[in-house]
Amino acid sequence: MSDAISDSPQAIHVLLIEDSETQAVRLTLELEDEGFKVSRVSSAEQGREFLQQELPDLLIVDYFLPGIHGDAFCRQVRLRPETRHLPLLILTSETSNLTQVHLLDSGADDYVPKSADFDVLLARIQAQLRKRATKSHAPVNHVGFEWPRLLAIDDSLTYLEYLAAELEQEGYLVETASHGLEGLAKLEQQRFDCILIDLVMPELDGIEVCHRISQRSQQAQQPIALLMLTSQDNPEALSRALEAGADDFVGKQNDVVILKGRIRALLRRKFSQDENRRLMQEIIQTKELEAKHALEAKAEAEGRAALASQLELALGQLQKSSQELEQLAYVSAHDLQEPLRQLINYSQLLGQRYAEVLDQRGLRYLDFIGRNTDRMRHQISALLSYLSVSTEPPVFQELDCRILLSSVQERLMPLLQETQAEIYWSHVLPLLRACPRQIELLLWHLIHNALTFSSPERPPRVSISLEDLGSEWRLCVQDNGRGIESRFYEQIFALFRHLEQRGASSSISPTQTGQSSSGMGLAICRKITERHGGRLWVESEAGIGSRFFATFSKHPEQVMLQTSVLL
Amino acid sequence: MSEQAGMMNLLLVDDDEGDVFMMSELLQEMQLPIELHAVSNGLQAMAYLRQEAPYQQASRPDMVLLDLNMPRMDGRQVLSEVRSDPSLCGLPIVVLTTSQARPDIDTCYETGCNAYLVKPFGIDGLTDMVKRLEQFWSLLALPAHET
Repeated sequence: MSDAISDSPQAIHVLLIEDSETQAVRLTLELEDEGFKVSRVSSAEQGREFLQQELPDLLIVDYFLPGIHGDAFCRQVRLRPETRHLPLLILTSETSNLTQVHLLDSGADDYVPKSADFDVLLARIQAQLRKRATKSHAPVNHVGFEWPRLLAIDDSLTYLEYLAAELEQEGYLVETASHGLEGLAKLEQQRFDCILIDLVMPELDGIEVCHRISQRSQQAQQPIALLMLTSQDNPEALSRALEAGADDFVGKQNDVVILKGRIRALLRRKFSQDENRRLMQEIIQTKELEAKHALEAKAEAEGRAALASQLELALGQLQKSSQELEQLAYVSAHDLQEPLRQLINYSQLLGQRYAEVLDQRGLRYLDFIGRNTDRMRHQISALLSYLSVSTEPPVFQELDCRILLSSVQERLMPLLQETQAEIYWSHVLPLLRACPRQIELLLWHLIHNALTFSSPERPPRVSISLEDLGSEWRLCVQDNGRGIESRFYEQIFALFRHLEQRGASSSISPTQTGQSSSGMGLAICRKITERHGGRLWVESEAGIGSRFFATFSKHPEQVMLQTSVLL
Repeated sequence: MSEQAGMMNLLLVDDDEGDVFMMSELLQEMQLPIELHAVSNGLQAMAYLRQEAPYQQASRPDMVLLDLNMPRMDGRQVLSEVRSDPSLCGLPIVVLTTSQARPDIDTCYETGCNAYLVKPFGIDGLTDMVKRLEQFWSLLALPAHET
């Protein structure tokens, strides 16, 4: 709420420094009526303490205060970077030109005669707030803000007393020491912003004190403004003092106004140096922090990259070993065909040539051999079909599924006729970028599956649709078969998985269909969809029918590089 | 070797004794005009075709049935050597193997085989295949061979 002046003046916090109770109560009420939040103290010293705790938005200071006067207070406020920006109005009963100049010299933004109407004061307040409204940034670091502390070291107690009184009047916190060692001891216990040192003192002289303090402050990296006080003009001593670390010097015989001016100048310089140093430190800290963050981020990125490459390596090895395994399985299955073929051929030859020699029992033996070699043959061929999906590199091309569907329909014709099944598909199907051999295999298995697991109550109706989903295509094969219970949804896609007893599912013999239901059809289909960057799943209702969904990526070549074949 | 007119002189190159025996058993039963000779690897096949020892007496076959996977010299090498030999390059060669791998099929046709057959499962399939081979030779290959 820092920007709103007229809209919400209640947010504006005013510190009123006024010793007159009547005056203070009246002003407080009037200001509060206008929506200001008012804090009031009755002396500059209290105001000083207040500012160490909290910064208001505006200061209204009476000129004639007991102790430190309003103009001195104002100079103090203007000295510190923390409070320098605060709008400050001085209330005064004097209106002589001299006073006006004097007040504005002290750094007050404006002054208002006590005799003026409240409206005048209010107008001045608003004007000040408007002026400041643009600079909304608060003093950087209010925490640790302290009022200037001075230490005066002089062997003349009279002078010390006079000096302390003058400087306290000026708004400083003043400590005194009557000789160099005492001064150094106080310095050990307290912080000072400025030290005034008499040049000529017994025991430790001013130059030595100055030297020690200067060294100490350099070591502690706490700069202190050092002001030498001299009673006589001694150019040689002065240059030694400057060499010893003094920042400035003032003759004791001069007007105290000059001393005060020098102190202000020194402190202003010191505070601004402090502020600069603080800002520099902040910048350095920020930079260090940024560097640290950058380092951490880099280390983290490197860690991630290392992890990723390890993962990639492991994945690569896994893929390689899985590919090798599939290759081995493929070769083994392939080689098993040879002995099996001769087993089949010779047992048939035996049956043909020696049918008369064999009795019923012998013929039955041969029958069992024949049935089981057949079964083995179809199992192996299904396994080869499954493995070839990953061992044979697919050739992707633009496909018209209607052609593949016609071919599949032709191959399934005996089964279609026997089951009186009908297959439907749309006249318009989107072109698919896929491997024709694999898609035909998939269609064959899905349709064969629909015909095999048909309902005993009705002839199978299979409808096939293909949708363009933007990033992928989705094939749906819907049947009116006996359906699948949801708990079997995943099982049916596993290798060698039959939900029904062999032989109970269908009366169709494998030789009639060209390919038996080996329990691998859906596993093959799932592998084909994975090879095409897609998925295969089923939605079904027992007794009603099933819908098999297969998706295919529009960029199957890219998928090939990423995911590999996992059994 | 007797060279009867109308008889097809068939050289079977196969290392599998069972397959060779099965072929001779079937041919015997089918009584086709086929005279069967068999060798069991590629080196023997090349020696036979070039009438080198111990096949000095061998006559040039009308057709070669060539298995692919054999020891010492396999069917692919035989095919390639026959096609690059000017005296043999016209010989009809039918590859007869268990491999159904696409690369095998493609390679064999590229190297110049006349047909690529997969060894059938079952007596019926085998008998059928032999019949077709005989027809192929007598109806198509023979006239081409003679001109």
